[in-house]
Amino acid sequence: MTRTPAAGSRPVHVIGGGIAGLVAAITAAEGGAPVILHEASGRVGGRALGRATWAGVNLGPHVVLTDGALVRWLAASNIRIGLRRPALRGLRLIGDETTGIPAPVKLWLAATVTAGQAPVDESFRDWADAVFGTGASALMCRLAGLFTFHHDPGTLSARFVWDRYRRVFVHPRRVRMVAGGWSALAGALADRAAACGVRIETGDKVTAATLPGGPAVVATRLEAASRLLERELRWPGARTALMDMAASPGRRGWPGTVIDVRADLRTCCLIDRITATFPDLLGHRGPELFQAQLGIGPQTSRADAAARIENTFDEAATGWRDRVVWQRSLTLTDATGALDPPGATWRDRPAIDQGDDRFLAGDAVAAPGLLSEVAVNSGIDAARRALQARRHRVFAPGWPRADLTPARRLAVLAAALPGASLTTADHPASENHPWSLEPADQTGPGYRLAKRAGILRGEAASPQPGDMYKTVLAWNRLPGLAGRLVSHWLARRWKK
Amino acid sequence: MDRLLTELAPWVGRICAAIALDQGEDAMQETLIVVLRNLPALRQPAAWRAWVRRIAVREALRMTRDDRVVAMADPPEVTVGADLDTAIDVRDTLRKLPAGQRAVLVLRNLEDLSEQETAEVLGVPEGTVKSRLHRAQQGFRDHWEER
Repeated sequence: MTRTPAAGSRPVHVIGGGIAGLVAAITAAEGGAPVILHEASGRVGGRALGRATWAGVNLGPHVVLTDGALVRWLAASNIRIGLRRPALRGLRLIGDETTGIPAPVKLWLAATVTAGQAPVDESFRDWADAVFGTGASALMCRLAGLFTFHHDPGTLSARFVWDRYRRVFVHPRRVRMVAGGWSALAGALADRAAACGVRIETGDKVTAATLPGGPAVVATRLEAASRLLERELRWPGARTALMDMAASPGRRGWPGTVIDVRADLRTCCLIDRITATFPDLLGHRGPELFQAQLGIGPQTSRADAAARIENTFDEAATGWRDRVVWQRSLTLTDATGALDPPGATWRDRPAIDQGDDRFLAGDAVAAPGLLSEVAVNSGIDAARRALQARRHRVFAPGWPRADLTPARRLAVLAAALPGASLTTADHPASENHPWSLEPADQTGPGYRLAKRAGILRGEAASPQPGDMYKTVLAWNRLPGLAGRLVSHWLARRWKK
Repeated sequence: MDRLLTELAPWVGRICAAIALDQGEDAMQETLIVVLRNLPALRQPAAWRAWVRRIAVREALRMTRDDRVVAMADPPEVTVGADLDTAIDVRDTLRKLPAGQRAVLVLRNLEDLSEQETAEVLGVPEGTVKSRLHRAQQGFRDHWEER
């Protein structure tokens, strides 16, 4: 009656073995497809490997957020990674008279009380000047260097910076560091990929001429993807100077985390003492490891950047130069994820679906999230689309199926709960939707349910970017008319 | 409640979509509402799967009859490469069969029920199931071949 699937044919090809490529390969393999991962270098892991003599030394400081796509996906996939809360004792801001550091507490407060979203079209500096005043704004622009790696974060889209600013500063307790560095993460992903049957071909450089037919996920950097797909794929990124330094221990008073916001910078210089969080990273009683990053402009030379970072070291710890046992400095371009300029959101970046069953993944493509979360979200999304493309061609028994969309889920709950109130707010696609719930997050359910003090609050957003609406459910325990009225009132309020 | 929805949705969605096609999502929504509302009144908890399945089939069949809903339904989903897209082909082939025959096909082939169980779910005699299944399979094959 129905045709049997043609077994084993038409693999999904994944080109590039970084975080996005590994996530895509695992997702596709777990979705039942044979997967071949092509990695040009000798080892999978991409930028996560860190290129250092010591394992565990990343390309610059790396953190993850526990409410983000990467941590959620790892947990859902049962991939165990050691996460540790960074030791923030000894956090030090280096400022001068002009920056005049207001207490960081004050800034966190400012972030919490301003619940609204920032506009897409304005620059962060213009918007923050108007909302927080020029003094606080200047400092906030500099601090945004922590997660943008840009030399002047104030020039980026206010929405882009503010979303990230709030995620990092409103909930600093959600910040984690990966035990063993990102190479450990890459290793765990590679192990899982191998365990679920992904064929990993290292030293296999795919070019436009050798790009295999059939569904393929291109998880390289945009530059390489442009060459591979023979089209222009571009998005602004940052140029970042990194300095890693190991220094002999034994002296009290090494700084923990140092953030330099002095007035000569429009960004900040961050120094993280990784060994404050992982004391035995470079061996028991081994040297201390410092990792520093500084966003730099296109004109700044590597030597100048290194000098500026060393200047921050001078300010933070006198006499550090005598204790250095290893030091390296490098500059990276477009290696720290996509940056949205004013007027653009992540939806405007190079699309995941490039047509002809080619799908993009990586940290600079059209997917939501902060830094590595973009790679995870796009990796999952691209793999799912590749699976779908493959299934359409291979499997005959494509029985139709209906999905319970987030909005319908709330409708079901509302109908089953006596006294619940359900409202839907339409939203034309042209406007920027102001809701905190991001329907396109691939690891999120697309809806949120919270119950507090007998009141149930549910929110769902439609997953179609061209057709934005939000459904809100409110329910409370009061009986009869009173309950209905309260629910109705709550739903109206939450709709906004 | 929410967890129950997550667990039931894929299964119910498959039954409903195969019978009600474009109104599958509506049928699923109605099914889940009935399930949640009547869950406390369920007398034999052990038989809950059969109970849910019965509701799903009933709601899906009701959707195909309800003209009002048909008028409001979203236009059928069109995805790229429709000529190669077998999911759409199956959908189209199923569309050419009457809803009653689709229900028999779903219960026998997707749900692996016996003819007797299928008859119980649909509330029709076993003989009817037999003849309907025969006609449905014949029809499906014919329509599938002529694609």
